[in-house]
Amino acid sequence: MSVADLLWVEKYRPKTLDEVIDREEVVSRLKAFVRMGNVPNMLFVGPPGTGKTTAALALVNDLYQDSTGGRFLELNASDERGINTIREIVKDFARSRPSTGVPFKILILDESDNMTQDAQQALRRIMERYASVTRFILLANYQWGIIEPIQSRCAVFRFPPLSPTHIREGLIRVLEKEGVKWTEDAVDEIVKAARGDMRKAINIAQSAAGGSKKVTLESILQVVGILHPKEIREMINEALKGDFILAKKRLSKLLYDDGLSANDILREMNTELMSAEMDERKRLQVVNALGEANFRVSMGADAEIQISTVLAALATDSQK
Amino acid sequence: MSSSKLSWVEKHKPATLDEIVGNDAAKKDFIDWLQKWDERGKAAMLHGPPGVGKTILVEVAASTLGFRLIETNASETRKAEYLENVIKPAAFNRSLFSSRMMIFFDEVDGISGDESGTVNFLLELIGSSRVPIVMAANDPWSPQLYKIRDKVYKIPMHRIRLPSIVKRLRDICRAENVRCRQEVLALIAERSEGDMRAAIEDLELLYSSHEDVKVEDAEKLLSYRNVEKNIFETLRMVAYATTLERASLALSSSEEKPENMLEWVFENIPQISSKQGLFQALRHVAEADMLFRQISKNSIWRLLPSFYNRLSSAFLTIPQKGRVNFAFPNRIRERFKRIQRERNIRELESFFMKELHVDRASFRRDVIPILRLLSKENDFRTSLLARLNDPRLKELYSSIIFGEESRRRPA
Repeated sequence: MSVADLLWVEKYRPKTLDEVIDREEVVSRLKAFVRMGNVPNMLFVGPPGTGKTTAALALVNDLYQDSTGGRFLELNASDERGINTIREIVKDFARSRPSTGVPFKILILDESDNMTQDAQQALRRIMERYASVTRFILLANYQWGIIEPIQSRCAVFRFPPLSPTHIREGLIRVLEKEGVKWTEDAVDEIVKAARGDMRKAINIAQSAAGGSKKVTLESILQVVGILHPKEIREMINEALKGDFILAKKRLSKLLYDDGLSANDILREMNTELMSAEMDERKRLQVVNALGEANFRVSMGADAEIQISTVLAALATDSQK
Repeated sequence: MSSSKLSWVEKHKPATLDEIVGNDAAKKDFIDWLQKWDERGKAAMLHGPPGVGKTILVEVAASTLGFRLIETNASETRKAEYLENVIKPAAFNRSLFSSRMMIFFDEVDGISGDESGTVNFLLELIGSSRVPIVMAANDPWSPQLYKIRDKVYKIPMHRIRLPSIVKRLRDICRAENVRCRQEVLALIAERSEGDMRAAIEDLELLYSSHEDVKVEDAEKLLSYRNVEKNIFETLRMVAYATTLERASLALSSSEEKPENMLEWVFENIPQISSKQGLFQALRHVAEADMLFRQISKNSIWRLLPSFYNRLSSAFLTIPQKGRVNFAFPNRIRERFKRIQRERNIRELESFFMKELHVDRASFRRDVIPILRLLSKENDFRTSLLARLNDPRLKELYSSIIFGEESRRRPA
């Protein structure tokens, strides 16, 4: 029993390439590799929830059939203690070369575009040196986050956001398997909120269903409201009214009590700021401040300090 | 932003010479000098450690003897146009005014070395003023004052004796209608090292809630303050500085760690800034923050002066500051808790990242809120807990998913 079967996303993750939807081109090429019993190093690129991990895991499953154990490893590039861990793992792989069947092991490297340039250079050498025993599947949100020499050594597969039709199809499949009743408008709302992210669609559906066996428009809207916190809008409004101190308090609550990431707060703020009511000149100033904050946070600066400047920009009268 | 409530130091300021505690010889000497002005030179300098009553003696003496006091602090002293337009007429055109004048330069040792203009102005004044010139300094031997110190009548002032401080504190307690323990007053006095202002500030800190304080608690509260004392002094200097050089110098010579200094400035800028100035000021803080991350990450400590310049700029862009009450940064107090919490989230994250094949960002963005929603259902919660076979994981799950959920929606 694992946590995975409690969450629909995991429970209904396609296990084989045949079950994967809306990725015909990718799937047919991957199937060809399986038939040949050989795969190249690969780079899967696309936003979250577009099937990168699913495709990689399904490929591993099809390739090794029932004996996947010990044949592949999934690592988070930004998580493990850097490139040295990867080197050690690959060395271990090399020592225990499988005697029968597919003669190499697979290392799935999530968030590869978060690796530093130096680490990527080192990774490239590891890839070359152990090419006979290891294949890499690099997962990334942005292709240009991966250095050229690695890109050129990989077969690149693109994972664009799923079409609304496919999100719908995948979603309904899950709802039916779970025996959950749905209304058309509820499903429409999920598809809209998911924006091509399958994982998000299923997560919203499960949260809205909760313990009940149905999803309604009302329950969906409630969940969507929590995923896009109202509090961010309230924070912006407080700042706009000139109450910087109150807005800043809310910011630290969002960051520290609710545990929202700075990136999520900044993204939601950006959306809100575009539609919030204010003088256009002021909007320009505020949005610029937001961009600056965003950049600095990603460079390691402090989220609260940086986002505070955006709140201060909001609290300042635009006449000046 | 000035606080609407007067601090105890302000509120219980002595109004007569008798009410000024300690330094009887200096008091007498100064009054004597004033009454026979010009016999022993045109200028006097009261010098001694902080908080012994230099400023208050000048103020009370002026009002007692019927002088109109033209008072300037360190930052005004350095403004040429102020000196030219306010001080000069006062010093040389006595006849325009009906009452007698006295010109007072507070904190003269705050003039920096290269401000020779100011020093020359003071020298000119000492030579030919028609009214008494009084200066106050902590350290008359500081190099900036070498041209001046031999031309003034120096009156030393000393630390206040502890029993006198205790007595004064008790009087204030009575006036404020708070009950205080003798041991606590003795503790405050001892820690003050003869600095009356510091003693009264400590008293206010302990008793502003008007509740009884035990001596153990007082010790704890005040030892906290001990570390802070330096930084309050530093921030005060920065807040009143008018040049970047002075402000940066004050910041960089503090013993406080740069990252803590950043916290102090970040916490206090919104308190002292107007709404209009806030954006500009915070931009400097944000820039300093960015700079510091780069400095510490890449060990380019030679850029540290730029960091202090940025922090100083944050203060300097704020136009005129009233009385400033600096606050201890919440973020320093909470830092440990936040690091702990971040560590907890990371630990739970690593577990779920493996189980659910999600990356870090998705875990925070999608999984945590969904777990929070689903965990409201008893069935889900029970099943999930049953699957977390490690007690540590159970604990993390409860604290991150529920602990915050309950705080997430206050009534």
